[in-house]
Amino acid sequence: MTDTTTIGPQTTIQGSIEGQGSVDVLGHVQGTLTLSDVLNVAESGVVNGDVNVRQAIIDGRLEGNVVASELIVLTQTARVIANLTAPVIRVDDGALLRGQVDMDLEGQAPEVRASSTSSKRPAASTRSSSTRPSMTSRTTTSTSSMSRKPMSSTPAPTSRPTPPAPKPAPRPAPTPTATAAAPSRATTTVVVVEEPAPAPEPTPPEPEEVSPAPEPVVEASRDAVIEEHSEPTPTPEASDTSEFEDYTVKELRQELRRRDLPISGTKSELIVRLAEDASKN
Amino acid sequence: MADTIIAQGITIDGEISGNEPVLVEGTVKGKIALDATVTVAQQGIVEADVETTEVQISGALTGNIVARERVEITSEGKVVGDVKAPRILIADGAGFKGHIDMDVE
Repeated sequence: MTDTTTIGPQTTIQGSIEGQGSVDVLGHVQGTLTLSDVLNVAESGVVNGDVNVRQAIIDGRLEGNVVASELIVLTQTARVIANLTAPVIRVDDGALLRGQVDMDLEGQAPEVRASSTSSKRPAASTRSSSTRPSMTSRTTTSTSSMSRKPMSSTPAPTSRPTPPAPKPAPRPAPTPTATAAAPSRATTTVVVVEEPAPAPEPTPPEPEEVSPAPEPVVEASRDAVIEEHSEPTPTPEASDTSEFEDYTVKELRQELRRRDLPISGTKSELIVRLAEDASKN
Repeated sequence: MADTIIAQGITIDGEISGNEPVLVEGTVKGKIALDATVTVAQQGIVEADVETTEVQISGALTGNIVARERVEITSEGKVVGDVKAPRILIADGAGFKGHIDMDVE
């Protein structure tokens, strides 16, 4: 590995590039890039395709999905249409980006002032406020503000239940690993649902209408609590998301298109986006 | 500096095109179509059809070569495939299996 691989400015590659080492792209690459090290897309470079690397430093143009295990940097000359996934993403002033940014919140990120309140959520919110580009902060700030709600109301850092959790009763005390297993994108709906989660646990100060035998009633009590919570409306979005909950992804996209909103993202993100837009009007 | 280098450890599966020299130290599969020189270094592996101005092979090349000027297989080079070029050099020690066409008529 004496040289780094260089795709010269007059060269075009159509196809996949993969292997150990780094690649500098000054020319044109159309296809996937899978590298153990760094991808550099120079200002003259153009990449059309999915990228999976350790670090990606983008000065040029890129279209596709980028997944980096360490870092993605978009410098001021970057022109990127891509979904970015990495523990650390830096976007310089002047860079143009369209796409979704996913900073993989389960990664350890204590380098920004590790606050005493354990867990990942504080780190996530400080990050989103400090480093995210304005474009993408919309979705993330809304989710983080939502996810803070249950933290303040229920002191235990509740684990995020995966939506189809069939029997939540036997779940042990929430552990950080449970949070790690769940995808990092906190959806508003899921967060609202989790408030009743601690209810079936042995602390019954105000178990609403949960009967003493927690196990069989859990499903019912859950639903009841959800409805209950959707009424007091912690934030305007919470009530509005419920109206989109029954939509299929296809219908959500249609609705987004109708409102001239971006249609990318997971279902829950689409719901949040619609809800935000609906609450504005 | 501006040239294209495929370093050791890197595999390209697809087509390389352009008009500047390419040096292959890694692996290329597919097709190489250039208006310039292709050099396959000693560790380089090419499993591709090559269409260029000039080719110099010190590594392993499997595929058909069409060069507008020259093909050179050095003493470390191994080539399996048909070669078509006006000038073809095969050094002592080189490995070659295939058809050669120097466009005699």
